[in-house]
Amino acid sequence: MSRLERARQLAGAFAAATVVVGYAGWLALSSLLGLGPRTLVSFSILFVTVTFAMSLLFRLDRRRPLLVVVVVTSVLLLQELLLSGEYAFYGFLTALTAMVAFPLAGGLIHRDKQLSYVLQVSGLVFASRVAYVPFPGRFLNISIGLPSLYLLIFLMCLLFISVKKVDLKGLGFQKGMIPLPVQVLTGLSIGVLSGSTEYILLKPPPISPVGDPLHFTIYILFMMMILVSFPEEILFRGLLQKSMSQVLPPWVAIQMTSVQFGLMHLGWRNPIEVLFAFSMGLIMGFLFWKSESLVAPILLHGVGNVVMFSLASVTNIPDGLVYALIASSAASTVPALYLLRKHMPIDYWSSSMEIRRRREKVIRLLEKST
Amino acid sequence: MRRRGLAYLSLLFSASYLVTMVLHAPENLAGLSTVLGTTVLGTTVLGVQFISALTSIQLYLSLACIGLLVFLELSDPTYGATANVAVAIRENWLPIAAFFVALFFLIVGFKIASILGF
Repeated sequence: MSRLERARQLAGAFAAATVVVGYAGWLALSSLLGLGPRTLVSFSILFVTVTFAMSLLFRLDRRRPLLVVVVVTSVLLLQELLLSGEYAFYGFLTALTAMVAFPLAGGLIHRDKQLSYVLQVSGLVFASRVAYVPFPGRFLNISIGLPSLYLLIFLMCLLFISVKKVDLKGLGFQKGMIPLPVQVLTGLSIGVLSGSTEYILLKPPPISPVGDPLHFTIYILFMMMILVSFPEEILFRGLLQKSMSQVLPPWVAIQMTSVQFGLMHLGWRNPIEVLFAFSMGLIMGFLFWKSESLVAPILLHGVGNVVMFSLASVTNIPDGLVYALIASSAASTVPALYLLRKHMPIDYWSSSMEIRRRREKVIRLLEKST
Repeated sequence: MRRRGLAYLSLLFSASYLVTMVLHAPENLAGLSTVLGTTVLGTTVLGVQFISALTSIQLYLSLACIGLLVFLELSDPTYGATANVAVAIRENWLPIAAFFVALFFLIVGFKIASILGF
């Protein structure tokens, strides 16, 4: 890898970190002034604009794919803002239109196969909102509502994978480049850390479970570990990030996917949650990129959800206990990260695009010599 | 191999769905989605506008579904030569059309259930 390339990638990583720290400072300031709907809208626009500006600054030679991702993300931002406000109908209409329009645009530029694929996958992100449409409002408010919704999102992913003949290994359903125990350990430790941190950040109202505690536990485990984590990770990491990394450098693809993942959490009307989801997206994206497997991201996502909900279901839990959980999970994350670093592919910073370029160069040289 | 993988994945997902159905979590778990930041947006804002928007958008979804099906039929290559662009769009819209048909049947199912008083 050339020095310039390495410097550029380091600058990109630095830029991503600066963006997160900058937002955190901005949020601290705005929370002092009081968070309102205007803060949410201005935060969201700033969030998307600054992140893209950073990417453009360091990757001007990839303007066309970046432009496509900017358009998709802007539409997603618009849709989420409409849905979380008083104009939910227009939000759904935007989602429905985008779901049809982006694959159409992909068909129009079918010669550029990789970019066309990005557009097709982008349409799927909007399917997670269109999936709400058939359900009556009261159905979504019963316990089977959410599993049914995720069943539809999963169905959409399954249809896409089947029709487009997407390779399951490429999607992340494989052991991957890092030993499985290391992936599991990383997913579990960061998952517990993320769940407890999210609880402290959001401080949701407590939910006291009634009925059989065993039923409650099994329900949460199946719901969070399989029904929620699988479709979201297949969609965001396996399909979206993977497709973007074919046309953009991996760290930009991770950043852009995380922006979209963060925007999908705008319904909380809490910029801290958006920022948290963005940061978790960066971590899960990085794990997926390096391991080429969905094991760690799915575990991290699922365990984070289970921990967060379990804490919320305990009434009057002392903050000290949650902080102790954060400290212990952070401590267990250290050896996990050490092992991860140890088993990570040697070519730490090189992108799949660069590897492809090198491979093509070798093929050309071989062709010349023969 | 790929088909088997997809079958296993579907089996796992269907089994999990059945488990959550059979368990019938307590009623207050309906608040689940308002607690978890990691779940999708809509459930956190299930207000009056949201519910009425769901009903209104069903018509547009049905129209989009019919439009896509008509396009898929007209662009069928067995009718004769089809432009490359049309074939590409057809391939891209195929999973969406299938998804919309599934949603359409669900809409109809829920309507029938509400008429029958379920």
